[in-house]
Amino acid sequence: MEAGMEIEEILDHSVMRHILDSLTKATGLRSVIVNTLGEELLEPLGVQEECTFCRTIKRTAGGYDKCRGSYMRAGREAAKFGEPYIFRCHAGLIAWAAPLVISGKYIGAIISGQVLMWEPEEFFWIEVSEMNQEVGEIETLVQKGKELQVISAEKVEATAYLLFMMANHLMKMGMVVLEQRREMAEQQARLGAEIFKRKMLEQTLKEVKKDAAPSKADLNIEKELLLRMKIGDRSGMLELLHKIVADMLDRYGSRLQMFRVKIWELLALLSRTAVEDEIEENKVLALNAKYMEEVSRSESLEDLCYWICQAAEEYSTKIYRKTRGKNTEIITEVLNYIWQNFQRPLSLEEIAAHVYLSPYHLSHIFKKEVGFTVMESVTKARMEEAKRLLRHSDDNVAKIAKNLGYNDPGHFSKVFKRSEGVMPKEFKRRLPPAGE
Amino acid sequence: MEILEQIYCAMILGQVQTVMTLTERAIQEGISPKEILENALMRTALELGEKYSVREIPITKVLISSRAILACLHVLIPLFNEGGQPYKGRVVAGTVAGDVHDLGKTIVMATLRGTGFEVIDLGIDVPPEKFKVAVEEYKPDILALSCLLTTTLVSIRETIALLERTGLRRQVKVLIGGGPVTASFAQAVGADYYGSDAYSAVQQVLTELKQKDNEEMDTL
Repeated sequence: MEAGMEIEEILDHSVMRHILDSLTKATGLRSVIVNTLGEELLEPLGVQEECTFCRTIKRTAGGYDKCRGSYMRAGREAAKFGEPYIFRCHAGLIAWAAPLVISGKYIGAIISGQVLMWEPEEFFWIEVSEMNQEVGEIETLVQKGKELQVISAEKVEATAYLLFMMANHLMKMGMVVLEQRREMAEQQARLGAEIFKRKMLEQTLKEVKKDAAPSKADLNIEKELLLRMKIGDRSGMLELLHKIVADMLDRYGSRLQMFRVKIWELLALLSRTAVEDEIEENKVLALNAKYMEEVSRSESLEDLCYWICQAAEEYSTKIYRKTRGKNTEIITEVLNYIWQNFQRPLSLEEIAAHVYLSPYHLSHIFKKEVGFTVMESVTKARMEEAKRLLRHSDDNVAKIAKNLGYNDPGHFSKVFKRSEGVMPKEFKRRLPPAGE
Repeated sequence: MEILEQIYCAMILGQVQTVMTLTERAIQEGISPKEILENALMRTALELGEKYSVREIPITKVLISSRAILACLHVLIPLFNEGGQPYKGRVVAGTVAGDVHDLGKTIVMATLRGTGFEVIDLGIDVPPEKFKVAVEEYKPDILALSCLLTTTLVSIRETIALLERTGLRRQVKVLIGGGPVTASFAQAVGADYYGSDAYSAVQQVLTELKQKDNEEMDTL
């Protein structure tokens, strides 16, 4: 069996025991979980003893083995037909099995019953002795047999059906757990690789003093992350996210609470970006609520990393969906080119040449896919950078304009005002005092 | 006959005591075990089989009614022997691998025993290997293979194939039967006898033996 496909790994023992216990108490019938060989793995938590009839049989050498065989076959039949399997065990009692199947693989069953559907009459004792010849102890069995529960066929069918539905539900839950676990493992591997790279880098740069406070580089990377998210570069965004999270692990990995706070900050940033980009506010609020809760509930670094990556993927998917189309690769390439070259004068012709399209063709598909024109995109990138420079640098407006490829600071200011609603100087003035 | 009808009804309802009492009474009234077998018992078994296969009745009903069938059989079996049946031969019987149904097999075994055969029961879910070992050990005249699921027909084929490969096939007559078994299937796998139900299976065997030994079949 594949690793991770054993019952023990999929179902929480204490939860299962509790369920079996409740089942047993509610129906008055003992329920157990068996593996594919029919061996009992889990039984009810409370002191719910087996009926004396069964105990007598299981005590004998051959008896236990026959029971196991009955359960094994019943579980298999149930899994084969995807329905509750009601059967007569080797000793003559009525029982039923609900299969536990995950990813199409049969891993065990819940067995319940050990009852009769008829009042024991003379013929039943004949049956008992005939069916249990190899097991022996007939006199004892007949005696204990009188204590067996008798329930109607309808009750048997109803109980078996409920058991079956419950087993299905448990497996669906188990499926979710398995998938989450797999994703987490994959993600840890990616983060691990990232951290390893950084460690290598540290080794070679040992003599370079590390700046303990968040450096400009860190803020840059965060902005770039958000920009990539905004312009729809999903894979680029995830790449950066891993770098950021790896860095956070590095700095705060030893303090879970601090790490959690940093994750929250990141989550807030992501969600604000999503709102700015016109995903409906309600949807964003719902997503926020969901991820905030998961982050508060997480008790480990792995879980926190998992959730922030899930959040980033989900937010960006919603943006990404808007920009996805046949020409996505071209668009992405254009956007990357813009991002790398916006600081100097850029023309539509140059950009189009870069992707081997005519300017007309490119502008046509770009506008169709992205919603705004190529040059508007260039302006957007420049304005983002302008805002960043206004926030973090002491450069004056003229210098910033020049850095962005605008020869005329007046023209730059006009473009800025059109895009952001205020003049660059005003924008800078309105910024909150130092220390964001 | 009215009493046979009554037995049939009681069997369908799973009324074990009633079935046994009525069966005994029928015998006393002079009705032969063979008649009871054919007109009450087999009728019930076939009806149950048909109705369950289309899920007209739930399995619980089949389980309950089967007991009544076995109860009836329980009364009849000793009576089969009363004619002092001469020993007719040895049969090894089993339900093939992957299948856990044995009601049909039980009826056939009981009937065979009743007509003078010695029957060794290998049980249910019997793999080809186990059949082969049994044939080697017991050297039966007849090997009876039973199945109820279409998915396990292949096990019949595999069992016969194994016997052929190990040179044992010629030593036994193979009888196959069960719900999904058809005449064409029987021919395809090279079975000697075939029964679409328990009773006709036994009839086949006896007919052939009668032809061989010129014995009266109606000593049943």
